[in-house]
Amino acid sequence: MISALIAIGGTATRREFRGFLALATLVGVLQGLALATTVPVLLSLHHDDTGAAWGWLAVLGLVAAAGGTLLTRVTMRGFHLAMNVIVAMHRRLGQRLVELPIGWFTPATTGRTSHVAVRGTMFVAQTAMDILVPLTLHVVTPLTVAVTTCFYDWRMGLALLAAAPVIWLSATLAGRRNGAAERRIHDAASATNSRLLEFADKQLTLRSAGIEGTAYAPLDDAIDEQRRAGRRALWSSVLGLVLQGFVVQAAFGAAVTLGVYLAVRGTADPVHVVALIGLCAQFSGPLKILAELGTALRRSAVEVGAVRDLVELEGLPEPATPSPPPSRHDLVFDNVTFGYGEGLGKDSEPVLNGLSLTVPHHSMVALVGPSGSGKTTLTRLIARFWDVQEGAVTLGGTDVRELATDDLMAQLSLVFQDVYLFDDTLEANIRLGNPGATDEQVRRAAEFAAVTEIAERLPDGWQSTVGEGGRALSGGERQRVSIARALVKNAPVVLFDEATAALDPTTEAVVTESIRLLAGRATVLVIAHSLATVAQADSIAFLDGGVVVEHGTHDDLIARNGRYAQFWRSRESGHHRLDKAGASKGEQP
Amino acid sequence: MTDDQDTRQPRRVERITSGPLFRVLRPVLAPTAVAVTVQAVGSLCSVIPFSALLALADRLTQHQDLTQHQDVGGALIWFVAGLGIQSACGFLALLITHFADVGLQATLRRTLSTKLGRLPLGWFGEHSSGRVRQIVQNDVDSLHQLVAHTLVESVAGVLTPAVGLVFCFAVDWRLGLAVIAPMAVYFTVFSALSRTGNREIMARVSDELAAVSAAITDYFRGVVVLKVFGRAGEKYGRFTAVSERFRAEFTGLVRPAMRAQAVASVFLTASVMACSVFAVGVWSVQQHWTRAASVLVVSTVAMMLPAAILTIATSAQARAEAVEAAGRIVRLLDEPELPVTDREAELGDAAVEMRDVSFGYRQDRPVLRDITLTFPARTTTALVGPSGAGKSTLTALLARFHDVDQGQIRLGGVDVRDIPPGQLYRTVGVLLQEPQLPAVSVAENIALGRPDATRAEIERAAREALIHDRIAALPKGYDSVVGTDARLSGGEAQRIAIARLLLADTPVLVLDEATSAIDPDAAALLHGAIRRLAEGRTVIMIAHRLGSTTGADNTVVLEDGRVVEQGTHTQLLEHGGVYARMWNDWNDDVCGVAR
Repeated sequence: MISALIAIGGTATRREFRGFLALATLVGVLQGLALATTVPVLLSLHHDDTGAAWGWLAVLGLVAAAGGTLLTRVTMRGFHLAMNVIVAMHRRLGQRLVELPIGWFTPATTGRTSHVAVRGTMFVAQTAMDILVPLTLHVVTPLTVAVTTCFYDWRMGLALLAAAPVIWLSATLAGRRNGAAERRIHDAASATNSRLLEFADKQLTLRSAGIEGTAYAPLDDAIDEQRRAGRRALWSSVLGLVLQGFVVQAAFGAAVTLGVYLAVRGTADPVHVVALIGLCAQFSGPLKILAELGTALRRSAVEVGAVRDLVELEGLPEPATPSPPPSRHDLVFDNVTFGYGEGLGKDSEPVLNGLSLTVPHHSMVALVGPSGSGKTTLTRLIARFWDVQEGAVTLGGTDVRELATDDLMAQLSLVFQDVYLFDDTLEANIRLGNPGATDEQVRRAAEFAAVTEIAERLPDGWQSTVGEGGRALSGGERQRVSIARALVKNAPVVLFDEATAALDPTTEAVVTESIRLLAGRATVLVIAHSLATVAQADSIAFLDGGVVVEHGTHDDLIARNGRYAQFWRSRESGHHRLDKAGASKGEQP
Repeated sequence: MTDDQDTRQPRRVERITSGPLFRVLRPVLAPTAVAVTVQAVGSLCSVIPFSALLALADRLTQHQDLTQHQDVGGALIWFVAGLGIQSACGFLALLITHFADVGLQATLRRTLSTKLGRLPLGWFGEHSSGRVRQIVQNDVDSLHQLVAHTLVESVAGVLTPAVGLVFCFAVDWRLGLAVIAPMAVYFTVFSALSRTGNREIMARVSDELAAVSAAITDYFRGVVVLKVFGRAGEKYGRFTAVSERFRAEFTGLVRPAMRAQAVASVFLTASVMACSVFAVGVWSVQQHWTRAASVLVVSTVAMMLPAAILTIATSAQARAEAVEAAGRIVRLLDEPELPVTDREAELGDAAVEMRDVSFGYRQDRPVLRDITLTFPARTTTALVGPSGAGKSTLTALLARFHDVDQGQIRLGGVDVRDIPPGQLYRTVGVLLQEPQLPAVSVAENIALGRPDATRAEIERAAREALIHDRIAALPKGYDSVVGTDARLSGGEAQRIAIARLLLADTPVLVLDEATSAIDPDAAALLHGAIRRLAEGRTVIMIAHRLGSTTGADNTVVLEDGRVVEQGTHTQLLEHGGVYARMWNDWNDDVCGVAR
């Protein structure tokens, strides 16, 4: 856990940490020495040598005072250390997120990792305040006590020192059992928590399916499983805890017994023994507390470890020397292979299989094909949501991996199904495309994209916040805002996913018009669904199974009467026949 | 960061016996009480080793003739036994609380899920998921800490030192005072140095933590947006500024308390205790008021006290957290539920009626006004209108996601409020805008409303919904778990939902057709599936393709929350109003280019 903290905090933290530990150790030693001084005081007292007693007491006082002052100092240091770690943690996490590929950011991962970061913050703070200092002290002081006991009576001292590894061993074993037990409980709890959260998120579906209360089987099962896991782990964890305490008490008892035995046998001065008994108590007491601290420490370790994992995630490699932004804006896919890889089950063979395609500068290419053919993935790869596994994607002749991410993204406008709105005003979301745009430009783009009517509908007009991910808007409206943004940005390459076009007639019209507008002044790659769009395209690429199967203009492909023609015809027929079964109302245009 | 101990104890007990914590902990009150008692006994038994130690010390120092080692042996045995009893009691207490806690965790989760199942569906909106997440992931865990550890530890932390203190006084009152002195100094210094209003500070601290948590979450969510625009760096700057601010604020709030604690707790260290006791002790011995053995034992006991006390400090934090957590849980449990009835109703037919219905999400802004509509059995009604007109809201009310503010909705002649939810949803099937597929197998997804369905029935529904081929193509087929074994597109998820509805076979259907257009490649398939679904049922459908209205028995046009027109397609065209206008626009858009 300490290493995790240091990993998060960085090298500056390491130095600070070392200083902190050194000081804490010193405090521990001083406290131990102070305690050791009680023995001569007692001895003097017993021998009625009050002068010596006062003398030793003075020493005791001095050492105690020194220890006390430094204790204050080190506690505050620990606190500041933790604060530094927190700030460093935030900074590094923030940095890391900037470097991660866009494809990493699904709602699930984002939710999970923000949760990790939040808890990490809390735990680091708590650790610093409650755990770090006592932990060190409760290790160093007993050791010091044991060592000084050796000076007074080597047998008892040795007993204590011998007990130390035993205690440590039992603590480790107990800790490990505890740790394993807690992990199992934690996993079971996580599983239940996800089910419970799913239950909350999907209430609409579940309830409309007639599932009431805990009748949702997976949740029920998860709760039961958690209970079972809890019970199983219980014995482990409590046993572990107690074992540790027992061993410590046993050590104390043994030391006392030894002392008494020696005294009775006459091989040790009873008064010495009596004095040392007191000292032994100072050995066992702190160690007992250590056990409890250990539990708290382990909890923190889990959380902090999770943060460390996050911080060490691999980002998308930025080029060491980025190429300059290209002047031409043609797109070339050269033998691209890509699949989503692990984590998604065996359902994912490569989505793109050695696909090659050229989109000439300032032309419009429509991507058409059945769902799952790779159209969406293709567009994502241009924006480096992920990197290709084989082959290359080039923009204006430059591999996108050679461009600085910021430069690349500046060249692209994405009008996708994931609309990337955030909880800010309507206007800000549009302006995101081009912060330097004038109000006039923003309004014009909005007008074109039929966003003005959205502003009219919302209570605060342009200053209405759209909610997290644009929650306050309907699907079609979100799409329109995204289009307005693209218009404002006026990037030389536009990636358009028309799939959401049919969410409402207004959006549909806007989409068609905006594609028409953009086609003239940018390189457009559009996942097309409507005849209107396809008719405008300079060429159509028909995808299936991750490769381009046919390529040409609409008329060419229809004439060829191949896959494309077939596909198109079946779609067209579906488009018009929306009446009820049996009745053929011939109101078709 | 600590609560002052002894002086505040009565108030703490009070807080525990009333209020949210008590409610939440009620299921485990009995075992907790037992555990606390056991621990109390253990703590009280700590007097045994203390006394034994005194006897031991006396016998060892005074009796020069140690041939009477039975006495010594006897004292020794008592000493060890005493330690043993303490440990045993501690163990037993912890065991009991841990067991109780396991039960509590399960009970709490069940209670929460039952509650969630009864909240009006309208409650689940913008802020709800964060709240639920907080409760489920953090608060329940805080209670775990409290029940499993903190309660028992607190008892030990108070009683054991108390017993020790009494013992010290019993041995010699002067020495007893010497033990109290540092503790008194601790309290004084602590109160003097720490700012007043500890609770207020803690409230502000948790505000700060909440703020930074919100900032983190916000950053995580927002950064992807900015990455897409090549501006992620901007937000990063803001984020680090927030982080620094947090550090400054948090430090400012907590440092004085920490310093106070740091300084004050010096007086509780064993070495300072020893100083105090020995100072008084040496003086007392010099004055022949007491003997060295007493000083020894008292100092030994005294040096053990601080450790016990300091556990209270750490547990105070846990206690406070638990109280907060319980508060949040209770607030959720107290949320108003949708009033439901248990008794099954006699439903007439599959007709739906709305009479003078008005509704708004907020009091001041009605979304629907004076809606009176009839949806006769086995007919299809299409709802159209500009966005924001209230179509989604209307369908939400039909599915009783909220209760109407005014008016009535009747199903088969019975007010929907008088129909138990189970029966309601067996009668009314709902197809929502964004398909929500829980993370279970495809088969279970389809059979969500009919857990007793056979595989054959499930497959049949899937075939009719035109999704069977897609499922069969998956490596695990129907057993593929959604989300892990199978990633389904929007349109495919919709068809699973349609299969679900087919299997559920409800007489009434409320659906939003927008769903069917998410994946236009499958649009034809979807429309086909919906058509099958609609056969023979009462269907109320939000139409997004005006072509859908041509086949409907009745089309209702909504604008601004009111019904402005209704009729068949032909009638509405003839009427030449809103509908006719929309129809013409749409025609131009879609068909004009094809010509």
